[in-house]
Amino acid sequence: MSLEVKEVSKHFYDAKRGDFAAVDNVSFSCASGEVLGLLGPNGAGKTTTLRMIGTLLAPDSGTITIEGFDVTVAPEAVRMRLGFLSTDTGLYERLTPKEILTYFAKLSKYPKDKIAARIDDLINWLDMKRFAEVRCEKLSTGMRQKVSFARAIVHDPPIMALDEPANGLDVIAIRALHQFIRTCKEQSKCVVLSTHVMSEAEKLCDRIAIIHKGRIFAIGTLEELRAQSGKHYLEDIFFAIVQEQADESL
Amino acid sequence: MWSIGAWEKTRSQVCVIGKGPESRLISEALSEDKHFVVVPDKDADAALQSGAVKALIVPSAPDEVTIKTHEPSVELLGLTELIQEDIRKARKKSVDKELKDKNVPETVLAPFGMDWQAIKPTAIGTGRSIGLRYVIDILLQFFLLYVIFIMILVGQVAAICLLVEEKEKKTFHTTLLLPVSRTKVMVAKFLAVNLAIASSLFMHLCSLMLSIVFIMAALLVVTVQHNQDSPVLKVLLGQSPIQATDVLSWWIGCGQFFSILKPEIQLPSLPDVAFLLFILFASAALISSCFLFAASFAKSNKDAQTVALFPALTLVAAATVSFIPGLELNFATALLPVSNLLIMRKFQHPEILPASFAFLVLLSLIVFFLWAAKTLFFNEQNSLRLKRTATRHQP
Repeated sequence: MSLEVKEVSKHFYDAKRGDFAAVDNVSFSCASGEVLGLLGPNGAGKTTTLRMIGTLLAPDSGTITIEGFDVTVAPEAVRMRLGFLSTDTGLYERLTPKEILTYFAKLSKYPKDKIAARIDDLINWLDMKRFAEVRCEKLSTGMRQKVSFARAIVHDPPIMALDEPANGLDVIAIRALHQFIRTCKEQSKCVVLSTHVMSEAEKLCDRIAIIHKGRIFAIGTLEELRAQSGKHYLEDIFFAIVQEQADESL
Repeated sequence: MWSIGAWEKTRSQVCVIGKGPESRLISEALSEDKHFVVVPDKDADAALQSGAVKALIVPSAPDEVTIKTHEPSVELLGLTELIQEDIRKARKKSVDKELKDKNVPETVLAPFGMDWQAIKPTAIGTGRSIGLRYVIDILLQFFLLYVIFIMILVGQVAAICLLVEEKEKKTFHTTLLLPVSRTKVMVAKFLAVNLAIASSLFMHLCSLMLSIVFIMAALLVVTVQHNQDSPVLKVLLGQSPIQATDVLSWWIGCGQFFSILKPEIQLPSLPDVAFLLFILFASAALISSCFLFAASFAKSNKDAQTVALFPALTLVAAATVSFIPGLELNFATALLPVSNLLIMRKFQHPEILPASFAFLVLLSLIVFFLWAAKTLFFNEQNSLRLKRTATRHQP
């Protein structure tokens, strides 16, 4: 497996809630060429899980390995193999898209002689030629999103972690995003997508993990979830599974 | 009323017209000269017409004199030159008197213990001759304090930009996703702040040096040569505003300044220069790490400016402490960062033990500040709080 998450927990302290588990004993895995969706409402623990995968946060317990590298033991090796995209990964405004891509490729130790060709490929693929030499501060939201895509995959990582990437995007940008995820899948990348949009999960994900209050309640293909819950639509499946788990815990 | 002079072969007859102080001054100056006789000026124009008087001198403006003659000739041109020279001398005398009356020191640099006329500095109030090197050292102390101020200003802005803007512009996570260690990121930011300080200091000092040379040269022209026509003196006495044409004469002064000082100044030795540079680098490193630490507390630009005020004031106070007379480098003063560096500079060869202790204190502080900045800036709870705040503000 490209990505293995085993019994991972993360606790935070909040003045209102005191010590609480943002992620509670979560386990899942994702193989190459697979799109795994983390589906859950706001505050379910999706972002925290992805941040732990991205080495932005350290898990309190459990292990996360990416191609055999543990996130706590070899965070730099993990970051070299990971493409992370979220609304919080902004762009350096004083740099041009080309400069940002070169900077990331160099620091990710992408072969020096191939950097220029790789950047040209990305610029052509994402249709960025018009603004490749323009400072990021002057770019529109759609253009910035394209640069972010390119930034996340410039070092050709085998694993992609996408944290609600469609947030704040318009219809055209969302379409480009979906196309981007499909292309990643075609390139045999392992994609973990966190979302609370049911249709997005239905359309793009090979397997879906339903996450709520820091715990994964169910994981499987859409058909498997339908069979487990007895419902057809993902929205109904989500509520049925969450309700079932709540009843069980009571 | 001033008067008509009688024309003789050896004594040109001139008359000075007018009754103001300027006319009196010129008249007195000409009376002292062997070439002229000055007598009361009744019927001055008639005397000029009749040839009894060669020239009428009329003060037309504070710096100008009009000379009226009946028949211009070569002889009269020589006469004109003589008159003008006498007038220059008279003006010089008058300005000297004016300086004395206004209690302006004979040399403008006297308050600094420097007698530029003799090019030998004297200790203030004692008259004892001291080395020019000592005076330059005192000036260097002030200069270092000034440099520290500049470092504090630039270091503060650069540290805030490098840390707080990462959070404000949401590039914080982008930077964290780079496959390099957090320590390397913080050290890179530390070096960037130092680079900002060094480059701005370099540009600032270049322009400052030009200004210093420019002003010093101009003052030297005044004090050494007693050039009473110097535009600088006029500016100093409030007699005229600074003119654009003065620039040329000031630059000529620069050349004179260096030619006079060259034999007197002993250039600092290479170890001295290296020591001074080391002190500058150490100060810059301490200031950079201190402001990175302060900025790592802040969550916004406004916040950072408030937080950085305290270390800024502390650093300024510490730098000023070094000016306390008689303060020497010992184990107590070595504990005061920035002050210890500036005190060390006072003595060319500080004792090894207190100096080593001072460097140890500085190094420990720099390492502590950077470690604390790294820990605070990359704090996990902090990053989560940022995310929560951002979500809450979304419509």
